[in-house]
This record gives sequence, C-alpha cells and structure tokens, in this order.
Amino acid sequence: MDPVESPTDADLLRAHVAGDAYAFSELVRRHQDRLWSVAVRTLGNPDEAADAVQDALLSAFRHAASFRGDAAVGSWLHRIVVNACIDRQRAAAARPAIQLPEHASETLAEPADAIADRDNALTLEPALAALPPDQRIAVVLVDIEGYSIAEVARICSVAQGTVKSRCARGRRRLAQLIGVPENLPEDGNPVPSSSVKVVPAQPTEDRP
Amino acid sequence: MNTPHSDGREEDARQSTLPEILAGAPPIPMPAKVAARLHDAIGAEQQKRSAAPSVSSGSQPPRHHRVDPRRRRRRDLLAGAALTLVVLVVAGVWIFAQFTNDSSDPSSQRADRASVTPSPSLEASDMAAAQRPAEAAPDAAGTGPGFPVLASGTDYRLDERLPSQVFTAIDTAPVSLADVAAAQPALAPLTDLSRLSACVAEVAPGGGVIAADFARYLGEPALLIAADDPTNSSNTILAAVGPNCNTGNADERARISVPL
Repeated sequence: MDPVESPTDADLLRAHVAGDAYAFSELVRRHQDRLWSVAVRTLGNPDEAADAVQDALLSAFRHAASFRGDAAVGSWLHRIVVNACIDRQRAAAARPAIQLPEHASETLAEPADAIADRDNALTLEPALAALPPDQRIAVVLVDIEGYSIAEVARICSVAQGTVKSRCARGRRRLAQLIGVPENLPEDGNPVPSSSVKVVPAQPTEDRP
Repeated sequence: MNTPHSDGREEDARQSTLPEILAGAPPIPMPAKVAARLHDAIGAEQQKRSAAPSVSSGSQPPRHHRVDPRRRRRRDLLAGAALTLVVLVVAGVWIFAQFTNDSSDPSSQRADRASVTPSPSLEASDMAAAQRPAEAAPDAAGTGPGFPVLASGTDYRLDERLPSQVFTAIDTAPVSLADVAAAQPALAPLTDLSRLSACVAEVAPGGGVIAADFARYLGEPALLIAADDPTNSSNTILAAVGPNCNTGNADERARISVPL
C-alpha cells in the first residue's frame, strides 16, 4: 500500500484556490485524456478541440473558486469542456463552410493501450467525424460519455425529442459507416417482447 | 486480460454491435503537442495570478480591490451614459412597436412559427421541440396540431425493426391533416384537429410529442404516436392507436417504451 495518499481532485482544486501554483496543472493532468476525447469527438477537428479544451480549462482555472462542490470535480471540468465545444460548434455552424477532416483516423486517434479496443477506435473516430455536427454531439455525449438525454437536451438547448432523433439518426449512419448492426445483438432483440404491452384489439366500425 | 487465446479474444471474434462499440470507446490520449501547449497556457495564467496583488480568500477576483477613485468616477460616468442610451433605444423600439401594431395581423406573430412548420429539410423533432406544448402550438395557418403529422405508409411491427421504422418515418415529409383524411379514410376521425389533439393528450399526457404517423399496425390502419417517455427521459413511447382514440379511450393497439 502506498504510504503517501495522493490528494483527491477536490483537494487539488481547494489548493489551487488557496494559491498553490501546481495543483491545477496536476488536476488537468489527471483528466486531460478524457477531456480531450470528448472535445475531439464532439468537434471532429483536433485544432478546434485543442482550442476548446484550452479555453475551457483556463476558464475553470480562473473561476475555480465558484465551484460549489455539488458534483465531482472531474464532472465539473467535463461539463465546462462540453459547453466550450458546443459554443464552438455553434460558431462553426454560423461560418459558411465546414471542412471535414480527410485523415481523421490519423489525426484523431492515437494508438490506444488496449489492443482489443484499437480496431474499433480506428474505425469509430473517422466515422464519428463524418456525422453531421448535431448528430455527432448527441451520439458522443449520450452513447460514449453516458450523459442522459435530459442533460444533453439542456446543454444543447434543444428538446429531448430532438436529442433522441439526432442520436437515432447518428447511430443509423454510424452503423452504416462502421458496418455493424445498429442495435441488434446477434442473438438478441432490442425490443424485448416482455416489455411490449399489446392491447387486445377492440372492434371498431372502421375496421373490416 | 485478453490474449489471443483467451475467452475474451474469442468474444471479440463475434461482431460487436454499435452500442457496444460506442460504450467501449477508449479515451483518446491528448497529443503531446496539445498537452504541452495547454500546460504552458496554464503556467502563464498561473504567473499572471502570482504577479497580481495577493488575495486572501480565492473567492474575490483581484480586480474588485483597490479601484482608483478617478477610474471609478470615469467608469460610473460611462455606465451612466450607457444606461441612458439603453433606455432611449428601448423607448424608441417600444414607440415604433406601438406605431406599427395597428397594421399587424395577429397571425403575423404566428408567422414566426412558420419557419418551423413541416419541411422535409428540417428535423422532425426539432419542429416538435420548437412547438411544445404540442396541443397549444399552431402551424403557420394557426390550425396545425403542433407536431409533425406524417403519412409514411409504414406497416409497423413490434419487433427489432420498430425503432428504425419510426425514425425512417420521421424522415418523410410531413403532410397536412386534410391530405391524410383523403388518403386514409379509415383514420378519418383522427384527422379532425381537436380529436387528434385529444387523442395525443390521452396517449402522451406529458406532451413531448415527436411525431404522429398515420400508418398501419400489423396491417390495420393505425396512428403511431412517438413521444417522450415521462418516466424515463432516455426512452421514447411508441403507441399504435386505432381510429377511436379520444379523451378517455386511447384505443391503443400496442404501446412500448424504447431507448431512442
């Protein structure tokens, strides 16, 4: 057992607020890969992602004292980065042309440690980058990052139905691009019959 | 740990589904160049903070301290001038609005909503989002139900194809209730706006209607209603109802809540 306990994220943030010159950098080091992942996947462009992460983390640096502690520090940082990405995506949408990365697999995906995951990752990233931005953000936040539909609706300022629709369209397109079943396990059914409530048919005048 | 001969590897041999791939997507390591730039920026920010006058509790931004009285006076003057300007502009806009109000038709305010009326190029649920609550929102003519009405012709089945069927249907161009009445006589009662609204309210009392598709269910004419599931925000309710759907009787043939 390590005799020296490493500080928690909350300890580091408190130390930063109290003036510790190294605490925030250490905090960032702990979370930077996850923050980078969400940024590069939602924006589909490494340059934009780098700017978004930097802007977001500098904002977090300056406003660390406003952190109320009602969520994990990592979630707080994550949320700030996601918001920065959404802002950038909106700004990009207002620009006349969006250039999709041609070599997304080379620029986005660095070799992953887990060999088993690498095949999927190399296929997934360029496929994600090829999705329309709204669908990409919905799929990344809901299906990869595990945000709830309600949270994503709030972050993106759209209705939950819109998020669902974007997820569904994005998944369908992704499944085509990656060449995998969209939602159907080989031996399973995504709509289990036990969950279906079928109401006995009622006679009506209109039916033959 | 997965090795080429372990069970895990054998598991990998079967084709993964999309949800498995997405849920298992590994973090992408931040490139060294990006990390270096980021930490440089944080270091620069730290230097700025260190160079700034020390603050006892980190909760107060330094700029709130020791404001030069002359700067404060100048700032107050500027703020006063800006406030005056804002008041003048608001008053001007109000007077202009009053002046032009007489010539405006009440329906012109609805014209703003016309931009979200059915259009093949617009996401159907974007329209639903813009028009909630469904029952209250009219279309451009002031007579629509407030959510996309579709007539996809789909024959829905409660099997694994259902979610895909629904979202394929949503891609179809919305139609008017009058068109549906002509094309789907068996469902004619539901093409009456108040009846349709009552039916939808019965099926989805929480609102959040994504679309209503005049279609078929197991070969029978049916209206398929897609709406947010109020008990599970990750799910969508899909309900197939018959032509007698109304307040107090949804005439439901089937209902399912699926993760969509």
